[in-house]
Amino acid sequence: MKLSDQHARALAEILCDSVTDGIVVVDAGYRVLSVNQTFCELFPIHATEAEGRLVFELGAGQWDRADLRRALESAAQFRAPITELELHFVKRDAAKKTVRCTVRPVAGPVGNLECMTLIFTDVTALREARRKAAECEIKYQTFVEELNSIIISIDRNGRIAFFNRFSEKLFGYSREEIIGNYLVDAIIPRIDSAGRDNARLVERIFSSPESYYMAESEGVRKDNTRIWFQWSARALADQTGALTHVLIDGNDLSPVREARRERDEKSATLDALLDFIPEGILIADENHEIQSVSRAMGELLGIAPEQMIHATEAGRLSTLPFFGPDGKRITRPGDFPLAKAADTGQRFDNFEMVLKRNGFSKYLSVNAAPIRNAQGAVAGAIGGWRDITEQRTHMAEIQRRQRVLDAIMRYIPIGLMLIDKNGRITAASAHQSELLGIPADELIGACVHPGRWGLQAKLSAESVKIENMPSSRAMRERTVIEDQFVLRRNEFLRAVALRAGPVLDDSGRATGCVTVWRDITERERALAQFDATVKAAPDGLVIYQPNGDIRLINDTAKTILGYRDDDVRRSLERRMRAITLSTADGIILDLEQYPFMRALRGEIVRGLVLKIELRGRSRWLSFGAAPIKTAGNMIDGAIMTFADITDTINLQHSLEQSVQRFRSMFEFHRAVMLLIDPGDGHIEDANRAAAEFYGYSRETLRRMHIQEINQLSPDQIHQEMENTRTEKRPYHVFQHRLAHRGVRWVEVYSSPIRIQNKQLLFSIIHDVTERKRAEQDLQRSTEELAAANRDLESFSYSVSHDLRGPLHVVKSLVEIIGEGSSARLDTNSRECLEHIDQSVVKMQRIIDSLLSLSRIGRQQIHREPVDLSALVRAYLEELHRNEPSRTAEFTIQEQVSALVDPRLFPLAVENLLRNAWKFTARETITRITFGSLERNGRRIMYLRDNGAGFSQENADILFKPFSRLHADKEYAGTGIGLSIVERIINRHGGAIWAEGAPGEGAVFYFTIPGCSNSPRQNSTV
Amino acid sequence: MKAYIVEDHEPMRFILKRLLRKNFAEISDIGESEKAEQALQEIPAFNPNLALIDISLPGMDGIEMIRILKPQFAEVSFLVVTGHEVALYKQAALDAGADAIVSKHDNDQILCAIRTILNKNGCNGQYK
Repeated sequence: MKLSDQHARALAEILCDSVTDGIVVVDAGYRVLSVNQTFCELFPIHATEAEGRLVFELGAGQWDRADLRRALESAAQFRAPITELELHFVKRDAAKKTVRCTVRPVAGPVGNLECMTLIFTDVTALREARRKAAECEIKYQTFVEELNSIIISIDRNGRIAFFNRFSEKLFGYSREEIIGNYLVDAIIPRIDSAGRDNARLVERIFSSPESYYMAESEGVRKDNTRIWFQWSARALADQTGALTHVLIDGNDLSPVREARRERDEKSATLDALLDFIPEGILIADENHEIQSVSRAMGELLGIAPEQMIHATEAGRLSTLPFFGPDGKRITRPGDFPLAKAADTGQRFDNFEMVLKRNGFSKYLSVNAAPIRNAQGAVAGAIGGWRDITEQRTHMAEIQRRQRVLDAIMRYIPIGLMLIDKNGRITAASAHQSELLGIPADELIGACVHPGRWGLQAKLSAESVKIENMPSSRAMRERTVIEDQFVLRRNEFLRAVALRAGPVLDDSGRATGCVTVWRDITERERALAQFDATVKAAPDGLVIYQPNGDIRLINDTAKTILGYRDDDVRRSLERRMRAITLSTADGIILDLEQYPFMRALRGEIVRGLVLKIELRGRSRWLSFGAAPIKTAGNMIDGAIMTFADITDTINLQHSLEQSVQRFRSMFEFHRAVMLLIDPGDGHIEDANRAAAEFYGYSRETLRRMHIQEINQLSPDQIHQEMENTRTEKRPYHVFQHRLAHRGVRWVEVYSSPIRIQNKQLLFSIIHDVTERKRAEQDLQRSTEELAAANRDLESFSYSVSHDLRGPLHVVKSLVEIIGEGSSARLDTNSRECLEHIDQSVVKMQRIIDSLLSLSRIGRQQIHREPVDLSALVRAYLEELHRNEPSRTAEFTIQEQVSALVDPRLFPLAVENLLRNAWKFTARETITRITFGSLERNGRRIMYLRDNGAGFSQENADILFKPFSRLHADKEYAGTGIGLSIVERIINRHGGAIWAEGAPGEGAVFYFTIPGCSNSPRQNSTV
Repeated sequence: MKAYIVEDHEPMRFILKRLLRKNFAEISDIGESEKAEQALQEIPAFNPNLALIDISLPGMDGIEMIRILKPQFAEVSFLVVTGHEVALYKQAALDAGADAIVSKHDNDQILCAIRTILNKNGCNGQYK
């Protein structure tokens, strides 16, 4: 089929518009003939805008380019059928575009240039993709190059195509050297050290790259050393999917290999170790499963090591009778050492286990520790078992000995120390520690240190030097050393005896010493006390040796015997030459009869009185002597004491004389005398006067007891005799019954007396019946008088009281008469009524005063401190107020107070002041002074006035009731006021008296027991 | 207003009557007796406002009499007038129901006490 041109053109146009490339057709003069639709869309341009214009003018001048011109010129000459060039331009919408322009000449029918087509393909996206790919390639290259991995690619022939930097470093080849070389032979040996044939390796890789994953190969470096590397293969295909290259991606395996090798070596060492180590070793993993067992362990437990491997620790060991140190069977899995170490993550040392089998106890000491991996997590545990049975037995023996030593040290009642050759204390007894006042734990390990201990020489009190210590000397001289010292602790001194003995080894060298300390303070003290006793004894005391020589003599003995110091050392005979001993009867004693000689023969002499003649003087001595017996009843000397009783003997003589005198006095004295035994009241003796007084013969009296005479009860008599005997009371008044003359009052002077070693009561008796009777009469009349007084008081009370009623009635009636009918009365009657009234008033006042007076006697006194100064001032001011016309001056000493009855005493003060006020009424100025003064240690209060005064003769009757020294007219009064004052003061146990002179005022003094006052201070009103 | 006097001593009765008549115009009628027993019979009928009672009487004493009368005649004021020491009998008299107690030896005190009882002015009520 042949298309018409038009048809063909139409088809060409449709075709042109539908292709994806932009098409521009230009003529030979480069003018645009036509553009297709795609072109218009590509460069957004309208077809009409483009057609007819020069092609260079398109693209807003962007196409006016030399290369486009050259391409078009070249195409116009058909020099190159296709010319391609790339154009970049910026579209109107600012998108950058890259297009590839292909210029083709279109030949006319005659081979002429008919036109040229410019085909524009948009390659913007392609270019962008290429750029990104290039960037990726760079990144990839960098990654591959810089990666710490082997990256090698090989082609199908096994030649190296790529070799990264790490590989260069690892294998020692530069990229230039190695690329193109065969992989096998260049860097992988044909036959490796493990014997593998690598000749066909490349072939195998290409046939199945995916099977080479983490493969290990030996590599050869340029210096011919071998390395191991681990690698994986990755197939690289071209676009067609054909496998062209293989990428080998590997790591250097040498460090891992080295570690493995080491591990293997160690494992071998461990095995060897486990085989030979004498300790039982168990190694378990974190699940307590046993991984390794030492041969010794098997022997220790009696189980073959193979039987233990892979069993758990507890599973295997719990079948054995293991016991803990507490004696309990170990069964719990967690209680076994490895499990414990693994579970707790802690190390255990000397974990003790006892394996009890066949009646034997095997003591095992276990150390166990966790095994940790590099991260520190527990990956298992290791334990070492040691048989300590023998050690235990040995230790037990040592401990037993130590305990014995400890017990010795604790209980031994002496100071005991073990000292090593360096002078260091290795053991010390509790007593030693107590003695030194140093705790045992401080003492042990310390050096012998006499200075610090306060050890001093016995006599000089100097500190002991270490080289002089018995311990040092014993070790030095290799013999026992004894010495005594003084131990000063604080202010207390103790005497100590030290004994030290060396501890010698087989060759006789001193390896230490033992010291024994004994506190001999008590012994020393006893000796000193004995010495002091002997010296201080008031008696002479001599201690003799068996041969009669003097061992000890005190000063008293020396004085009495007249010995000088050299006499003491003389022999018996010479000493005795100067002395003569004789009995009371004058018999001179032989030496053999001397008290100490008798004692030396075993005799005991007591209270032997002998006369000693010494240098012309004779003394009486009382001797005692006794043998000193030691163990086995041996006489080891004698002790003799004697006291000078010359004075006593003389006294006795004079006593005998005085007894004689007493006897004659007793016998013949006219006073009645008795000697009475205070024990039972027996009359031991009575004198003639007594026989006469009591009316019994002396013989009868001597058979009688005082109870038969004295009218008191036997108990009372016993008590009175006791009082006399103890000299509590020497004077008594008793009633004694006489034989015929009834009962008489007697006065008895009695005192204890010792007659012939018997204590008696010596009584002198006076008949006081008549006097007694007079006394009783007096007492009776006193009592009667007091009763009469009491009667009188109550009488005066009731009389005064009863008088008041009628008197009141009289007064009231007088008033009534006066009121009602005074007008009808004559003058005389009125005057009479007035006198009656006055008399009644006066009588009322007297009765009131009498009542007050009688009340005082009946009232109880309650004492309280009362300020008398204030009381005086208050009353005086009141008196002055009532008579203001009078001029008065009061001087009152401040703070005079007394313990008085606060209700009663003011009445006394009131009456006293009223009295003073009354008797000063006629003075121009009334002066009243109150104060206190001290006289003979008594505080005396006084009230002075300048009133009428009184004659001193009348001073006594001032206080008598109703006594008046002045006429009623002058000074009105009841005459009872001062009686009341005296009565009240007497009731307080005080006294009142007055001093005065007529016309010169009066002073009243009074005292109150317990009265006090502060410093004098007067106030004047 | 009526008053009643119990007093065994006739002159004293006379004095008391006179005191009342002279000082209290409002007292219109005064009854009297010398024995408590007689007064016990008469007082209910007489119905006084005020009764002056002596303590020591022949037979029953005045305080006992007040103890019997006061519960029945609460409106009657009883004034004890005694020759004894007032302090000795004060508590007993007040306990028995007396309104006050005074010494019979002091007319002023008696008047003062009556005034206080009758609630009149002119007396500050100080009496022992």
